[in-house]
Amino acid sequence: MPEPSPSELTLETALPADVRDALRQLELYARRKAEGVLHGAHLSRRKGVSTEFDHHKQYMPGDPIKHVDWKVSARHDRYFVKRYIEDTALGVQLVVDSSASQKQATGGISVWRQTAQLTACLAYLVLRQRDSVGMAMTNAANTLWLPASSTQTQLVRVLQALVTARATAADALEVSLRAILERVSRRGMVVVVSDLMFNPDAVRHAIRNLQARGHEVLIFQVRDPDVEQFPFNRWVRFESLERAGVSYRVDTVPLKRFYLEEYREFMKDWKTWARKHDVHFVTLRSDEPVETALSEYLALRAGGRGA
Amino acid sequence: MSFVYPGLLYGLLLGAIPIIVYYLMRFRSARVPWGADYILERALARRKKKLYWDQIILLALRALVVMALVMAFARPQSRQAQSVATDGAVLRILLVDGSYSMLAGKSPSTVRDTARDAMRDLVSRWGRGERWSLYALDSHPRWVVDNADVIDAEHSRAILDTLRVDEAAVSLAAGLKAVLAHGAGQRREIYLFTDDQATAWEGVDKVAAAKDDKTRLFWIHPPLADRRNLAVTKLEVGHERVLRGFAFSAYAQVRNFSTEAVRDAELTFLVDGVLTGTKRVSLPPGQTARVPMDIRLDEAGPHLITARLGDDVLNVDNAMSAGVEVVPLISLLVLRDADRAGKFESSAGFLGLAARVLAGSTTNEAAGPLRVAEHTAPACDLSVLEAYDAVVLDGGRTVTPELAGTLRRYVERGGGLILAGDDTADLAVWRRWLGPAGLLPAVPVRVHSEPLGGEVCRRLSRSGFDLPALRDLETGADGDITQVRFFTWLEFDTPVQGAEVLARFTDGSPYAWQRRSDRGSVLLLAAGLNSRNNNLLVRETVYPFLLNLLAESASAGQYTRRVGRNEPVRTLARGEPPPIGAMFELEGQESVPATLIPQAQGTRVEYAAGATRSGAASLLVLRENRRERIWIGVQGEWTDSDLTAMAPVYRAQLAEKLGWTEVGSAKELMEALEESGHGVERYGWVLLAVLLFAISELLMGLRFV
Repeated sequence: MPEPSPSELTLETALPADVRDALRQLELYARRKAEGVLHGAHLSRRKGVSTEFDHHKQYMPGDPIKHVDWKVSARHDRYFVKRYIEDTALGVQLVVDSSASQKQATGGISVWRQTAQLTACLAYLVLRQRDSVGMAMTNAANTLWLPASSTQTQLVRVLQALVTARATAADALEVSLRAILERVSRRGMVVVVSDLMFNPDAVRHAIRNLQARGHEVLIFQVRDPDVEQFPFNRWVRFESLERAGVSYRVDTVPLKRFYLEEYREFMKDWKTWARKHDVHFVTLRSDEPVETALSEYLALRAGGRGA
Repeated sequence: MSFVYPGLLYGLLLGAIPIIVYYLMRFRSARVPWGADYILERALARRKKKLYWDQIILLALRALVVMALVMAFARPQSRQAQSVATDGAVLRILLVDGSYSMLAGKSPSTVRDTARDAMRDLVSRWGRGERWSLYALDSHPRWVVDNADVIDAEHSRAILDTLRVDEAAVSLAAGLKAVLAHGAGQRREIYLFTDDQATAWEGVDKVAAAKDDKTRLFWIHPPLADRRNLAVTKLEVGHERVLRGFAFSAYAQVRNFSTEAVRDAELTFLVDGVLTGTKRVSLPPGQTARVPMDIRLDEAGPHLITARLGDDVLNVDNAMSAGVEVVPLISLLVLRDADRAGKFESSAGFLGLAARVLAGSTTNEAAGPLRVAEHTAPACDLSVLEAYDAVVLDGGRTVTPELAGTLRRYVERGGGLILAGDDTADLAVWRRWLGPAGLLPAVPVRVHSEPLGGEVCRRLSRSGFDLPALRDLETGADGDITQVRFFTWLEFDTPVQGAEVLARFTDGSPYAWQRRSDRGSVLLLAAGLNSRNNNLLVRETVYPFLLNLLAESASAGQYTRRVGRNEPVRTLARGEPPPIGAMFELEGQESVPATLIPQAQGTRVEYAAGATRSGAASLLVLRENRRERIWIGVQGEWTDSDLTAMAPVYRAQLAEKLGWTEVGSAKELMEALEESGHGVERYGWVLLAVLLFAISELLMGLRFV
């Protein structure tokens, strides 16, 4: 299996024009109330100017007179003012897994390429609806941190970060998640893009913390066909991508059944956990068109159903 | 537990193949960069112990399956019952008739050709590891292949190609008995490649009971449309040593072996391969004719005479050969009493005259083919005698013990001694000294004399000759010997053992006795070879008779140029320089060295083993400056020439007992085999073995997938 070259991913291939066209009609709305700085299209915890009525409140001195609901006040003989839910801009933090396991490839298409394309698509989608997007990408001891921004140059920054990134070292997704926890105080959306081929405990813990802080967490898992199907029927020496010098020489014929059981169990565990903790868990294969998978998910999301 | 094909058990080593493949595949594993370590490690950790035992079990099972396959093909059988425990083991036995009758028919469709084609096709059907046996039924019946594995068809065909026919009648009963005893109790297929010759099938009904129900028998033989077979059964020449320029007779004995009469069959005589004469032969069934041919050779030395019949259904018995030595002259030494020395009115003069007459010479100088010398008895050295082809003791009274001893040694060394008894012979002395020396074929008891020219005399009979050369005289064509009158003759007592009468008087009393020793001979004549008491000199008609007697005597020392099969072949090479080597050659076969044995008279050249079949043979004698080929005719008995088919009743009886499947060609054999499901018995085993292997692999697959 050839190792994908980073040079395969360019600014053009990370977000091709046809994919951009396909994404043009899609919108990503927050399921939870967000806390944006700017006025936007998403519901906010704060009450403010909006067309979305929330509730009536007894008039208190200082309340704008224009918000007094005269009909209700007349019926109750007291003054009531209308309260509206404030629309705010959504802050989306993309957490990208850039560990060496992302170099896993089948048929020349690596997981990393799909991860990068998906991340780029999400950033484009968010920025196109004038929300802000940031990105955190940690590998080894380095964490790449792009603060959220809604400017169009943010997309270029995201793409450049993806193109120049090297999928190396072991998984450190929880480091990125902790960075968000520490640096992002306003509620928003956290999108995790990863193959999830690691011990999930630390990551789940970090996700739970993010949820506790009011973030909506979305997980996109990119699956490699070989990892999923284990299509081997001979002796194979599996050389670890994340740990140099570590390899496993196994007869895959008797192992296959066990491996597939473990894989299915692993996936089932993730889905169960995600359902239990109200985390949207979306999986797509590395050889699957990103825009298709994304549009299907967003359609489901718009219908109120989780993946 | 034993195995039908124990040789296949070496295949148990194949059980190591799965293990070898396991380690080979392990060390030739593909390298795959892998990111899903987490799941792989969990799978390995969870199943590590189980996986280890699975691998061991898998390997063991695969090895066992392979070994089980091998054992299945080896076909185990019960030791107690010696019956095949696994069905399908068939022992295939070929019984191949190697007698000359297999050559009957027109080439390339003789019985043997058909048998060979069928055999080659048959062995081609057999797979590696099948068991087969091959019994060659010829003059030395033997197992050529004894229950051996089939290696491949080429190998089997190469073995079949080594089979030869030889000149012997075979007993199919003996062969079938041996074959039926081979592998008794097993499933067998016996293939008989033989003809329907009645003589070969004699006695088979007595051994047919040994065939059991597990034995299938196929009889492959093409039908013979024409069974008329003539054979030359013998070729005789008047003498081993014949005189150059004098006609002699060769006699071919021809027999009609068929049940139909043969008319005007052509019999040709060839000398050294050149046609000399032709005779026509008509023979009733089962009869023998003796056909003479006069031959005259003008070149001294060894010659080969062949009598050959035209082609018929069996050609191998259509020719016989005989060697003959043509000599320019016969040398005679006449021993006589001293008081008769120098008187050439007696035998020497007569013989010289007779020879000149026969040679057509009109001059007194020519001695013709006879060189006659005279020696006065009794003092005579052996070396003097050995310079002559024959010695005539012309009557005489002075026979001494020394002379008798010398003559005995002369005869023992191959000399021809003629005792010519006349009224001068002292029979008491002869009996006293020649008798104990073994030189008297019959004991002369008295001399009977009648007045010369009187009415009482004895005449030679024209019949009852045992000597082949004299038989033509019976017809009178070569001379009326009855005109000779003898007025003095010897009367004999009981002849000694081994003596025979070559010629008789008209009253039946013997005229010429002969007794042969190992090499030499003694000829005892009842009357003298002179004209003292007879009219031999004036009767030219008796000359051929007398010369034949002399030639016969002179041939005594000659090793015969006609031998039977496997009889020693010998000749005496005289002259200088002595031979330095010799080879024995039989036509169509490679030369083999012959033995040289120096003797006083020359060097004896001998090939003791003799020829294995009839035909023209030769001893090639090599000298320093030349080589000479001495022709020998090998004349075996044509014991396999009778192609008469066995009687239909007998055949039907055998067919019932043996239950054979009878086919006439290779194609018919293949069709019969197809119909009888030949060779498919092993398919069941192969199928079972493959099924076993497939199920095992399937179970292994289900366990791991």
